[in-house]
Amino acid sequence: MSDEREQPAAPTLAARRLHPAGAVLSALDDVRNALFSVVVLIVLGSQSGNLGTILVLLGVVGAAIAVATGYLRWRAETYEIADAAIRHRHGVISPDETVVPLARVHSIDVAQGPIQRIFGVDELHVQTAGGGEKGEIVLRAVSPAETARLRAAAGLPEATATDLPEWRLSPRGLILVGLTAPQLGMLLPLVGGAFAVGNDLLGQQGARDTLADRLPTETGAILLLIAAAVLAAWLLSFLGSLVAFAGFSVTRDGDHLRIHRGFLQRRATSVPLRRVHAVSVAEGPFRRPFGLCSVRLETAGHGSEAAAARTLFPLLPIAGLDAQLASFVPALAGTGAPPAFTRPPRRAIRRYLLPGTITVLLLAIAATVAWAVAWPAIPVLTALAALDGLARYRSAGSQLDSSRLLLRRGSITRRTLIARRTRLQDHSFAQSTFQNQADLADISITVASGTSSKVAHLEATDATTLFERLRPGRSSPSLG
Amino acid sequence: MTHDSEPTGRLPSQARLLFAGRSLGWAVPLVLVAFTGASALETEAPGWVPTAIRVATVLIVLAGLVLEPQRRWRNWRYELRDEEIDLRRGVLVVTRTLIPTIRVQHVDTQRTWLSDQLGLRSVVIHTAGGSHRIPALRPDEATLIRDRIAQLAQRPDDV
Repeated sequence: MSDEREQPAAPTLAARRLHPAGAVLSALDDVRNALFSVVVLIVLGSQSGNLGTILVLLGVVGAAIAVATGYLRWRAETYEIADAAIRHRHGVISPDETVVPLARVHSIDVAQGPIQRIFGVDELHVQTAGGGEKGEIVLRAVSPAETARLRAAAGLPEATATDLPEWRLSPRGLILVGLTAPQLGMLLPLVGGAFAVGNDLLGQQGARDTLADRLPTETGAILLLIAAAVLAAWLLSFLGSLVAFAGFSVTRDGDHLRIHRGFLQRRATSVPLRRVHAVSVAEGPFRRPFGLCSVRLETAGHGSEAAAARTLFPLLPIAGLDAQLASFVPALAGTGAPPAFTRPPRRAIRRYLLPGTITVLLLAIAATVAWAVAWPAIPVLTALAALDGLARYRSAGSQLDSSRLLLRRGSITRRTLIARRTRLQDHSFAQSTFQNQADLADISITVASGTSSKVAHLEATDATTLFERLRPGRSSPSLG
Repeated sequence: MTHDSEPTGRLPSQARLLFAGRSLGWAVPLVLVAFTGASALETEAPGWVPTAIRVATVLIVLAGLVLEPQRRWRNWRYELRDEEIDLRRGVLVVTRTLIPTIRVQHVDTQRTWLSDQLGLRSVVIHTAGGSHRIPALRPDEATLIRDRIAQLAQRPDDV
């Protein structure tokens, strides 16, 4: 084993097994997979009596099988570095081999579940540009010393410097993240669905005794139910944020960002800075009043991952955004001066307001015609639609710096996409016939994560200037 | 629009037939549903209602099969430059998109049964952010453009 250390130039690592904790993890998988069939067997067995005997027998036999297969699988699983590639072999009956060339490895990420933490081992994810959040190769139990050795052999050593820029989410910050979580809005329909299910269940008990039939006569009960629904949604979202962002920290190690997060499942991700083409700044409805925002990384190949996996800062005072970006993603940092957005002209307001408001008004009228009780929807929903349009008008804007492009949009949540000007995947200028007559136009861009942003109804001259300034450069036509 | 260097390449005129063929995808079901519905209403609604539905359907289908393809074809422009691919298209909203050639990941030519009948190919340009399509080109031109973009895109990209 010491051979590899003496030849650091040749990246090899002899084939080896996972830490024995891998056998435990594998056995636990079997137990979990078999749990359902065991429960079914017990239920069937208990009906013919002798429940105790069956239970014990099944438990013993099941555990024995799990341990045996866990051990066999652990024995069959090896990894090595040879011929400039990480090779992973696994499988007892039909062994598979996954080979990832070292040149394709973007990072070796570390995660720790509860079992891994008991044994003090790491779960390693070998990440390439193509893979999702799970790595191309997953090694479920590797001792820290082996992790260091593998990383060294792969040419991706762990950080050694000590005074790296670091940002930590404080316990107070974590509570605030949970309290102001944007997921609240997304969870409400879920809770609504739960009530619909409850409704069905109630409906089965009494012929007409459903929630919907009973409630319109009991306004207090409606309000109580809505309050309960909001509280449940908020609690779920609060707990979800706590689990996702507990212990969140970002460090910048030269040209890599290292992000640690997670409560039950500890995750460590490493992102090469050159792949960060943009960040997306979200000011949610509960955060914006307090000058707070959250920041998400927009990187190539990570576009489809969960929101939490792409988070750079879960909660940040927006006034400190430029300072933090300067430390962690310098290419996207502004000067710290308040942004000076080019905004759509005042005459564009009605284009933001009218289409949505009229649509909602017509729908509300249609609903009232069909169901007279729905009449309050006409003023309420129309007013909300108008406010939404106004908010979208007030958010809209673009700003072009020497190296960055900022596009801001949104109504309830205001989003600013900050992109490296020279790394846009495409940019577009769009104009409808009506916009043409009014001298207005839309500008939209796409960044490498697949995220697009659009600013609608800009002054046509502003849009043209922006469109032209974003061009990669002039050259003579060559074909077409 | 008042850009100083609008793209100049145009799609071959058969593209109109291709666009019209695509409109059939929604036009046929629409005619079936609308005419069945109109017949069903014959006995229940005032006499003018079924007629109005039929006339409206015919007008919509004509717009989809004639006006829309014509306008789409007339508005489509493309141009390849050393540093960018310039596309302009749209019927009601005219959109002009620039794709830096350095951002191109790969290029495909694609064909369907309909495009084969018309002697057309489409060229699909893929970037890390998504894909863009020039929907109708003559096969030799499509191959030329595909190879030219592939050649231009060979400079290393930093994704």
